[in-house]
Amino acid sequence: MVVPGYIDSLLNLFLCYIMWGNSYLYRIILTRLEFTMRLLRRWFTSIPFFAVLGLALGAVIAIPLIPQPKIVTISISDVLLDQTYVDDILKALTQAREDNNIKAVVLEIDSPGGYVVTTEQIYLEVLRLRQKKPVVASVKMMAASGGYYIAVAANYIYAQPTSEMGSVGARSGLPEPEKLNETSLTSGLFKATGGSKRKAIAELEMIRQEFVSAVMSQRGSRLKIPEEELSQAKLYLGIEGLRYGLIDAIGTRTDAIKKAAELAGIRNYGVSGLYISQPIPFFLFGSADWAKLKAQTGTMPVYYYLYIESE
Amino acid sequence: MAKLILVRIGIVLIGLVVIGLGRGLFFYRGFYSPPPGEMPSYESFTVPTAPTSEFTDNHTQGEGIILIDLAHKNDFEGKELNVLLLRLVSRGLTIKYFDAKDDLKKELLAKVEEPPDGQVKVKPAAEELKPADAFIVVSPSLEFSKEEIKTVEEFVKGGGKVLFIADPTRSSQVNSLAIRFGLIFESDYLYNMKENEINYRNIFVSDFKENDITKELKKIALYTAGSISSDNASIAFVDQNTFSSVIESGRKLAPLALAQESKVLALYDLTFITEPYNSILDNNRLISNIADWLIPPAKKAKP
Repeated sequence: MVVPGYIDSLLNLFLCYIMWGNSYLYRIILTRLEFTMRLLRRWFTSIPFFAVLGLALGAVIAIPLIPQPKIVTISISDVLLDQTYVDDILKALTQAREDNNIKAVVLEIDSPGGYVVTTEQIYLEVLRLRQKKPVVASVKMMAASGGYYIAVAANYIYAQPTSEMGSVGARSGLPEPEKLNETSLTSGLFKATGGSKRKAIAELEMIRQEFVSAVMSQRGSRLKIPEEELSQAKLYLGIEGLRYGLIDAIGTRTDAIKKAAELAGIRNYGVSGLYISQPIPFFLFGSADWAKLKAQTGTMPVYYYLYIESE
Repeated sequence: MAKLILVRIGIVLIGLVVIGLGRGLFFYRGFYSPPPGEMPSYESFTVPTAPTSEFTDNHTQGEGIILIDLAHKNDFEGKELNVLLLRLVSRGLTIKYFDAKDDLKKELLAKVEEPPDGQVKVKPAAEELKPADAFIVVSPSLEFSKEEIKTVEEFVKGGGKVLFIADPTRSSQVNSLAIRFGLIFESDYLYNMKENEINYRNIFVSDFKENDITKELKKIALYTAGSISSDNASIAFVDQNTFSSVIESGRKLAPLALAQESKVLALYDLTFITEPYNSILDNNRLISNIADWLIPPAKKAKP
């Protein structure tokens, strides 16, 4: 009969499949396996394989070893009278200097300055940073007095045509003579005042010399106005600043970032900002507030690199 | 076999380098070379100060009355005139103060107002009727009235002397009277960015016209002084590097003037008369010359 013969073949096939013996299916699978092994052996010992391996390993190693370079922006805005704010700026500059992935820094400056001491802290830190990575300053509305002092520490300065800059000089309230009374004594003549009025004026003059020297030494041959004119502490527009060599080019943040990349020799870079806590808003320091600042002087002089309207 | 292994390792390394180089070239096209560090030499910052001078006030004795105006809300403190007043007192002069309740005609001209009809006339004591010999006006905030101006003009015509002292840092209506004598205190201050006494507002003056006020003066220092315009009455001139904050005409600027046949003296700085500024350079000499000038000539004792 046909049917029993067919079933018999199926049974045979089934038995072969179960037994794994010298069955036909087993031989087919084995043959296929042997062929695959031969193929793999040929591939894994061939040159293209090692080339691909090298490329893959290269990718795995190179990505963390050569990360995308970054340019960071640090915003320096408003008056530099709040030491906490200044400390944050200094931390950001230090971080930018120490982080090897950061290849350049753009300082976005919009400040009329502040205390002489706080301004100098930032200036010296920018100089230190500049020894390792390029720094480009981008002036927004204003870089006056201390704001400009910080800008000159950069490799390159951009400003907009009507940005305001300059005011190279310092100001101070002069010390008042100590009011004497019988219940309070000091151990020395100038303990309460720090020195005479003439000494305070002399110190103000030395601070002026320091500021002017900083501008002249950092701007170098780019500067086209004499020291005497600089000492007049004028405020200049961006277009004047360009003419006199106070800045290097007219441009915005975008131009500053491109320039920073060019100086650092990088491309296809990332851009991010380093966060700094917000300063006390400048609009609170209106023209009436020189009186407030001056009132802080008391018996000792306090020196400012600050552009602020007089009372 | 070893050669084969080396070849394979080489191929892997080449693959590594290719990726590394490729990634490097993708991100980098050069290197940063920092500029040379230029720092100012901080130890070179010094501030030369003008020398103080030893001074002995050799003077003649005299007598007379010096009237000091306090009736026009004058913007100064009494102690600021201490140095000058001491020189005047040491010359035998008497200091009197004129305030708002006093009668200027009486003080300067020894004229007493006639009382209105029906009122009893009180004859003042002889001592009270002595007119002043000199009138010192320092930074008045109020204008002089027409009456007062007339009185002072009459006083000067009669031989009296007037000393005007103003300062750009003080409010002043001194021109309301000074202009009658051909003197205008300009609304400016003088400055010198090149050579100054510590600050650009503290100027040196060494160009003098020869007269009693400027005798023996070589160089003085003024502290925020202004310029006085006059018709040929200037007696001290600033140098070519000293400028006015307002005047740009290029004319010679003068902080001291002597007008009306040497009877009206104008000084446009108060600070140089005060301690310690009086002892800088020849400032003390100038103060003594002013004190000598204030002694009425007829009453000067022979030295």
